[in-house]
Amino acid sequence: MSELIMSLTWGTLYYATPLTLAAMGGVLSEKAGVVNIALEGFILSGAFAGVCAADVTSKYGVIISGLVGILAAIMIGAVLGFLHAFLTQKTRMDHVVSGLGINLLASGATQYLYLHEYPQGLSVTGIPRWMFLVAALVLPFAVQLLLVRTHWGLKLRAVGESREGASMAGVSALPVRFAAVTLSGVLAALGGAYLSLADDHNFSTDVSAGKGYIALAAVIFGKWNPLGAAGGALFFGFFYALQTELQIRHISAHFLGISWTNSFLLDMLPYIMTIVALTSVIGKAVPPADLGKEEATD
Amino acid sequence: MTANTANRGSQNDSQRAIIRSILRPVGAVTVGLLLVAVFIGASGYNVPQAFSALFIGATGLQLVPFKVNMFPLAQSLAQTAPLLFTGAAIAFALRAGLFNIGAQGQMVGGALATAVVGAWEPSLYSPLHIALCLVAGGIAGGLVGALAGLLKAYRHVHEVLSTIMLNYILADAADYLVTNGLKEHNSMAPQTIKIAHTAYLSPFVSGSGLNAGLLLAVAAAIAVALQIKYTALGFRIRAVGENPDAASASGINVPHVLTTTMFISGFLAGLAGAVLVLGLEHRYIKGMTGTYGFDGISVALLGGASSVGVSIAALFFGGLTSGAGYMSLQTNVPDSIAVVVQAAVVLFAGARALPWRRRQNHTLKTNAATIAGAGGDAAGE
Amino acid sequence: MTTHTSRPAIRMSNITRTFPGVVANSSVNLSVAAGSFHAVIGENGAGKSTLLNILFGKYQPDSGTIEIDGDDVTGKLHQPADSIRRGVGLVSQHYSLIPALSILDNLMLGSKSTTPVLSPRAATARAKSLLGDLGIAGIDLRSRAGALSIAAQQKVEIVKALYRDARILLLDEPTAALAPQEADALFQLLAKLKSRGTTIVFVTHKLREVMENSDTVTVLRNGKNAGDFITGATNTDELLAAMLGSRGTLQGTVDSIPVQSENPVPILELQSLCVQNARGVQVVRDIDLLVKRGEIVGIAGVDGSGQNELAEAIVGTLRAASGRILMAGSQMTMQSVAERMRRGIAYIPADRHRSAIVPSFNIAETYLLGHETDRNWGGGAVINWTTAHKRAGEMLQKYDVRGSSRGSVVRLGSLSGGNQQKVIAARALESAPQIIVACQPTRGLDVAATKFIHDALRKAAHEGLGVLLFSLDLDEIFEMSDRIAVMYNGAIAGVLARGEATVARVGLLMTGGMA
Repeated sequence: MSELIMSLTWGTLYYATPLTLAAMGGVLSEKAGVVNIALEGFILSGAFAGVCAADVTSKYGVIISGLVGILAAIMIGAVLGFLHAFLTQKTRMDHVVSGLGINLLASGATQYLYLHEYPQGLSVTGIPRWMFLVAALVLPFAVQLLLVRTHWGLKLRAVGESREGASMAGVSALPVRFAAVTLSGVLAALGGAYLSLADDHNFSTDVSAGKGYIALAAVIFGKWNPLGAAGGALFFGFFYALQTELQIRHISAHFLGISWTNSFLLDMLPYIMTIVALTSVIGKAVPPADLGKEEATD
Repeated sequence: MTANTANRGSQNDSQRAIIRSILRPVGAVTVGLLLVAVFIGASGYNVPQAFSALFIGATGLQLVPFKVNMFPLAQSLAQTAPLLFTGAAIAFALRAGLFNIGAQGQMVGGALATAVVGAWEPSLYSPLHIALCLVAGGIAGGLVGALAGLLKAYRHVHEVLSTIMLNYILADAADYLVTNGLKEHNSMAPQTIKIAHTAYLSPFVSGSGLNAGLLLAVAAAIAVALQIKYTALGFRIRAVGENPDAASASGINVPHVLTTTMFISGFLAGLAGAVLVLGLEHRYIKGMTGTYGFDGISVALLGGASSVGVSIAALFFGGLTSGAGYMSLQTNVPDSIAVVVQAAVVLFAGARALPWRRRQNHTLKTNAATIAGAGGDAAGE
Repeated sequence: MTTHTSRPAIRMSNITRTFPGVVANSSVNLSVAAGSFHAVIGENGAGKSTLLNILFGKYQPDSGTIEIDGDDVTGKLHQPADSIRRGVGLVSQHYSLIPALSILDNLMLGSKSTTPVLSPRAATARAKSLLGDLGIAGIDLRSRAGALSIAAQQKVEIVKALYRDARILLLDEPTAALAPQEADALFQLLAKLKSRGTTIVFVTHKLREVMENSDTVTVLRNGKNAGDFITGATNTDELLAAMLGSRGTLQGTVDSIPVQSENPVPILELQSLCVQNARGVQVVRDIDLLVKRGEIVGIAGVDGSGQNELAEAIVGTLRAASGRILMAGSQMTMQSVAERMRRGIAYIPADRHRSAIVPSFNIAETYLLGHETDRNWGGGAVINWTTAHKRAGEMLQKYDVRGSSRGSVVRLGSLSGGNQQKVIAARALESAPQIIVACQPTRGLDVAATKFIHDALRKAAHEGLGVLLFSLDLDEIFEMSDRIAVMYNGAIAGVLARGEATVARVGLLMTGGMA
C-alpha cells in the first residue's frame, strides 16, 4: 500500500512537471493580459527542437547534447512566444486565433520535419527527469516573487488589468507584454523538452496531447496565481499518475457493465476534471480585466 | 461631421471592407503555398514536381498533355462535404461571438449516433432511413455543442476551453464504445457493425467518396445564411454576437441564444460525421473522423462571414487535403505539409477571424475618437 | 492673486489635432504661469480634454509647439511616461487607477526606482507623509483602489501625481462626479498645493468654480481660442459670452414646466429592493419608491451610488437579491427582461454604446431590436424587412433624425451621437410603454438634441406615462423632475418634492448628510 502511495506521489510530481512549467508560462502571459492557447504549440515545438538538437549533437557527449537540447527548446519557445506577442499586440489578431494558428504551425511543421528527417524514429540519452522536477518545484515560488515583489511584476499585473490605466501611470504595455509572452513560450517549451528529452527520450507527433490546454486549465483553476496554478498542475498530474498505476497494476473495476478502469475512460478523467474545475471555479475567480482585449491603435 | 461625409465615409468603408474580404484570404492562401514551397524545397524535394502533383491530385486537371481525371476531382469534392459542414458550423457559432473549437467532438458524436441508427434494420423506405440517420447524427452533435453552450451561458466557462476538453472526451468515449459495447462482435477491429443498405448514400462517381453529402452540405450552408438574415433567431444571434449587453438590455435571453446557437452549430458538425458514415465507411471506425472538425476552423476563418466564402474555403481545403494525399504518394512529400498551409491561412486570414467582434471594437474606437473631438470632453464616458 | 514669475510653466502654441472627421483643436494657444491656478473652460466639445491629453502625452498634436518649464518638448511627448518624467501629472475623469491593484501598488506603479525589487515599506512611508501633508485621512493603502469612492479615488490620483514629483497638475473636469461639498474639499486641497508652488491647470465648464478658484482663464470654443482672461478682471457674463459666442446665453431654453398629474395612479412600485453586483457586494439597499402616472421622478446622486444597478434591477438585466418590484400593482420581481418589456417597461440605457447599439446594425435593425418577434414592427419568426424599414422610415420623420441620406439602411454608427440617441429614445417611446426608465438620456448631447429628448420625455409624462429619470447632471434633474429621489451609498437618502428641493439640500443628501 505504502509502495502504491509512493509511486502515486512520484508519478504525480513527474506528470505535473511539464504541466507546471507550461502553467507558469500561462500565468505570466495571462496576467499580462494575453490569452495563451498557444502553450500547446510551444510544448510540441520545444519537445521536437530539444530532441532534434540533442540528436544532432549526440556525438559530443551526453552533457553537451543535453544542454544544446535545452537551449534549442528555449530558443524555439522564445521565437514562438514572440510570434504570439507580435500577432496579438501588433497585428491585433484575436488571441485565440493566434494561438490556434501557432498550434497548427507547430503541429504541421514538427510532423512534417519528423516524418521527413526521422522516418525510422530517433532515440536520445537526454536529461535526467529530476532536473526538470527541481525546476518545476522552484519556479512557482520564483514567479510569485517576480509578480509581487518586483517593479516588473507590478507592471505586468498592471498592464494585464488595464493597459490604459498603466499607460496613464507612465507604463507602456507593449514591452512588458512582449517580454511576458516570450517568456511564457520559453517556459512551456521547457515543459516540452521534459517530455521528449527526460521522459520519452524520443519524439512522437502527439507528445503534447493537450497538455498545453490542461496547463491553461490549471492556470484558471489556480485563479491566475502561480502557486494556485502549480496546485492545479499537481491536481491534474495526480489523475495521470492514477491512470498509469491502475494500468500497470492491472487493477480493474466493473460496475453497471462498464469497465471503469478501461484506459480510454481513464484517459477522459483529466479532461472531465478540467471542465468540472472550470465550472466550479469561474464566476468566483476574477481574471485579469484586460485579458484577451484587442488593442486600441494609438 | 456632416451627414454626407459620414455616409460617404461608410460607403467607402464598406467598399474597402469588401475588397479586403477578398484580398485577405487570397493573400493568406498565397503565403501558405509559398511557405510550403520553401519547406519542401529546403528539404530537397523537387518543388515544381510536387506542386504539379498537388494540383493534379486536387483538381484532376492535367495540363500537359491536357486531360481531365474525374476521380481525383470527385475525391476533392468528397473531402469538401464534411469540411463544408464543420466550416459552416464554426462560422455559424462565430456569428453569436462563440468560437466553437469543438466541431471535432461534435462530429464524432454525430458519426457514432448515425452508425447506431443506421444499423437498425426496420426495412424503411431508404430516403426516410437516411433522413432519420441524419437527424440522429445532427442531434447527437447538437447535444455535445449545447453542453458547451450551457456551460458558457450559465457557468461562464469559456467555450474555447470547454470544447477543447469535449473533443478529447468525445474521442475517448467513442474509442471506448467501439472497443466495448458497440463493437462488432466477430471482428478484431475497433468498429461498429455495418449500417443497413437503406441508409447508404451511394457515390456519384463510382469508387469515389462523392455523394449526396456534398449537396446536403451546400443546402445546409444556404439554410444557415437564410436563417441568419431572415429569422428572429438569426437577428438575435447577430445582436448577441456583436453586443450581448445591448441584446440583454433589449429583452433578448442571451443564455438561451448562446445555447441554441451551440446546438445548431453542433448539429451541423454532427451532420459532417453523419455523411462520413452514410456515404463513406458505412459504419463507425475508430479514427474515421480524421481532423475535419479542426480543419473546419481554418475553413471558417478563411471563408469569413458569408456562406459563399465558407463554401469556397471548404472547396479549397478539400482540394488541398486530397491533393496532398496524392502528392505524398507521387513524391514522398509528407502530407502533413497540408497542416502547414492551414496554419499559414489561420495566421494570415485570422485577423479577419472574428469580423463582428472586431467591427464592434472599431466602432467603439471611432466613436470614442469622435466623442473626444466633437462630443469633446465627454471622452470615455 | 499671487505674483507670477515671468517664466511660464506651460506654453502650447498653434496646437492642431484632428480626429477622423473632426478638428478637436485648431491652432490653440495655452500659456500658464508657474505656480498659478489656471482654468480652461468651454462647452462640451470645445476641445479642452484633447488639449490636456496632448500635454500629458496621450495624444500627439498634428502641428504646433509645446514648452514645459521653458524647454521645447515638441515631438518628445510620445506617451504619458514622457510627460510624467517632466513633472506633469494628470487627474483624468477615467481609467487612471487600476481597480484590482492596491492603492500602494498604484502609487508604486511606474515610479522611478534604482532597484528592480519593490520596496513597499519605503513607499508606504512616502505615501503616508504625502497624505499627512495634504491632510487626507481615512485611506488604507492596502485596500483595492476599486473599493474607494470616486472622491477618494480622485484624492489618490492627486497623491499619485505628487508621488511622481509632479510640479504641474492637470485636472480634467474633476468635479463632474462630485457632490458640491466634496468639490469644496477638493478646491481646498488644490489651494494648499498651489501655496506650495504647484502649477494647476483645471478644465471645467462650471463658471462658479472658475470665478472662485482660478487666477487666469483660457476659453475654448469649437476647438479654437476664444479669449484669455485674468479672473480678477473679468466676470461671469464676459466668460459666458466668450464660451458661447454669438449664440448668447443658455437662458430661456426651458419652455415648459413639468406638469403634475391630476390623477396619480401608481405604476411602478419598489419595496425594500436590494441588489447585489457581480462580485456579490450589496450595491442597492432597501429601496422603497413609487412612480405614478404622469410623473417624472428624478434620481440624483454622486456617480456610483447604486443608480446603474437600481435601473438594471428594474429593467431586469440584474436580479433583485430581495424585495419586490410591482408593476401596476402586480409582481414583476422574478420576470425576465422580455416579460417586463411586454408589461410596459421601456429602457434608455445610460451607456448607448455598451447597452443599446449593435455596431453593424443599420437604423432599421437597431430600431427593431427588442421587437423582433412583434408583427407590428415587422418582426416574427421570419422577419419582414419591408415593414421594418417602413416603420423605421416613419420614425426617422417623427423624431426628426438627421444625417441619413439613404433612410433606414444606413448604419446607425454613422449618425451623430444626438441622432443615435434619438433612435434609441424612439425605440423605447414607440413601444407603447407604461413607464420609461431613462438613464443619462442626454449625456454628451448638444443643446438641440438634449431639448428634443427632454421634450419627448415631458410629452410622455403628459400622456400619462411614468418616467424614472436617472441623471448625474443636477441641472437636468432640477429642470425635469416632479419629485427628486437622492441616492447615497446604495440607498435612498431622501425624496424631495419639486417645491422643497434646493441645490443645497440635494447636495447634502448626495454626500450622506441629512437634509
